[in-house]
Amino acid sequence: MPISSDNPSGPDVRSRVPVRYRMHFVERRAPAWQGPLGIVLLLALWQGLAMAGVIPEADLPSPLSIVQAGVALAISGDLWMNTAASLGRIAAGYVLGAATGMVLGLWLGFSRVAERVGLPVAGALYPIPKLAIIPLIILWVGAGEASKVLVIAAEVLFPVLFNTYAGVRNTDPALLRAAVSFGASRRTLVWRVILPASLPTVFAGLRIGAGLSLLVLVAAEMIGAQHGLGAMILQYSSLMLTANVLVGVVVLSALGLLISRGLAWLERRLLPWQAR
Amino acid sequence: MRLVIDGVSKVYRDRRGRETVALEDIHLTVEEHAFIAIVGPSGCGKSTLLSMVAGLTEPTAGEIYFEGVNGDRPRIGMVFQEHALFPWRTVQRNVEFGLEQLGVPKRERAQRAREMISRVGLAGFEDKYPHQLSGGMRQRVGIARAFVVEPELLLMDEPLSALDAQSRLIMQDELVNLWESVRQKTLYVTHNIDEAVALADRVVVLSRRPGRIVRVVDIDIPRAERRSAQAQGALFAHRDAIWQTIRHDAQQALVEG
Ligand SMILES: Nc1ncnc2c1ncn2[C@@H]1O[C@H](COP(=O)(O)OP(=O)(O)O)[C@@H](O)[C@H]1O
Ligand SMILES: [Mg+2]
Repeated sequence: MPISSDNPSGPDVRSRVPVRYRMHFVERRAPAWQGPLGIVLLLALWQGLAMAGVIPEADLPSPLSIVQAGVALAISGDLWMNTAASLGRIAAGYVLGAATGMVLGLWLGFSRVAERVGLPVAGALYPIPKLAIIPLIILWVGAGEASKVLVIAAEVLFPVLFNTYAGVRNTDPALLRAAVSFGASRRTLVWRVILPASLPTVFAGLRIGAGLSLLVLVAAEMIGAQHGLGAMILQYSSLMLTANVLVGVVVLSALGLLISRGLAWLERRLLPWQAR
Repeated sequence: MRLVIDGVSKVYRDRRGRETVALEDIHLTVEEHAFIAIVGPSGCGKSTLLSMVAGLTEPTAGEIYFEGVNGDRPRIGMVFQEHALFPWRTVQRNVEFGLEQLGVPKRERAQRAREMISRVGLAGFEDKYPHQLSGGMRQRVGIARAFVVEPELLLMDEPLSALDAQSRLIMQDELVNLWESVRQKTLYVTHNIDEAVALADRVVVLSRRPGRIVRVVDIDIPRAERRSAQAQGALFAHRDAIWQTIRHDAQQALVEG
């Protein structure tokens, strides 16, 4: 006889109430193809309203007009030139700011003196809106490329600095103890324990900095630049060429998306050990 | 070579200057090849004691030293209750960590780590990261990381207490086998009396805070025979002696929280 813990009185089919799985609402997922649906619907609605004459083309051009304007700008070379100018600035400013932020963050994290003295300084400089000091920066380095690169760098620097510092200081003490128990030197602790342990926090800072850098880029280019997406948007809007303005906006949106996707990709590559 | 803990006390001070006496006047000598278990209620300073022996915590009073050392400080292998594996290192690289600190060449390091990983039953998991392993597997990695350096002093802080009852028994047996192959002096902290009696040559019982040595019980039955029926009577007597010592303390702890 098979061993079982069945009810010995046998089944009673009439009064059977099956146990239903009740966690569907927690676990339900939407398929991936639904992802672009919202954007497509919005564009379709927008196009429809424009074609029906509800939205005047002069106020808000239809998606198709934006595409046409975009193609025209691309062919004329205007779009490339301005995008390239913006990309150059953002790359230079971001790299400069992130690198400086990391170095200073490490310094504050490792040196008790630097921490005591530097943390209040960083804390005081951080809340200053960096756009407010653009006139000052222009005074120092002129209105050329350097001023834009510097203001982007200044904006990116602080979130990276604070996150790097926090990553270093919050290294799990249990890991430090484990490393020391096996005879790790100070150098090993820094390079093989504290740095890898703080990388996830550093990356969080890099992500915040990326978002901010785009913001400052456009503002700086609007304040005083010949080229760049910000300058292009300002210029076309003063000419009332709203379709061209929106081309710039769309490119900025794509740029932001690209940067955040790129960082996420880099993080997955560099930190494959993170549980997610 | 032996380890001497000579009149060691530890007082923790918080920022407001309030003092917690964790350990008081501990005298303990660990001879070559001795497996010593330290039992005591939670919070009695067991981890603190181990931590001081490893040089990770500074004693407030007393001295800890090795006698008859030739050359450097002895090699220490330590197993932590909360594993303390490096999350960015694979199983293989975690086990290699201690060997790296000893300057063992890369090829030999990899070879020795692989062998040890397979001895703790994790062959095939070399390239996994800690977050991909179960709690029991992580602790096997922790054990492999400590044993692979061929330590002259093994320090284990409740290495099995995060495991379920069955894994715990299995790991106890495996630990005995592993230990028999190295037979190095060992300090093994646990709050589990059965575990202490199953593994150790000598059980040191600490009192509730402040931790003081209140009893030393020698388990003179060869480890290999401790599972036999004949041994159970003597083992029971040892367990009971330890339990009676701890009991009063444990009850007080429950009442006082
Ligand atoms: N870093 C610390 N700072 C302050 N008090 C501590 C610290 N570590 C441990 N203690 C205190 O010392 C006592 C002993 O702790 P511990 O050695 O962890 O005990 P056990 O390992 O036996 O549970 C406890 O009361 C604990 O609160
Ligand atoms: Mg403990």
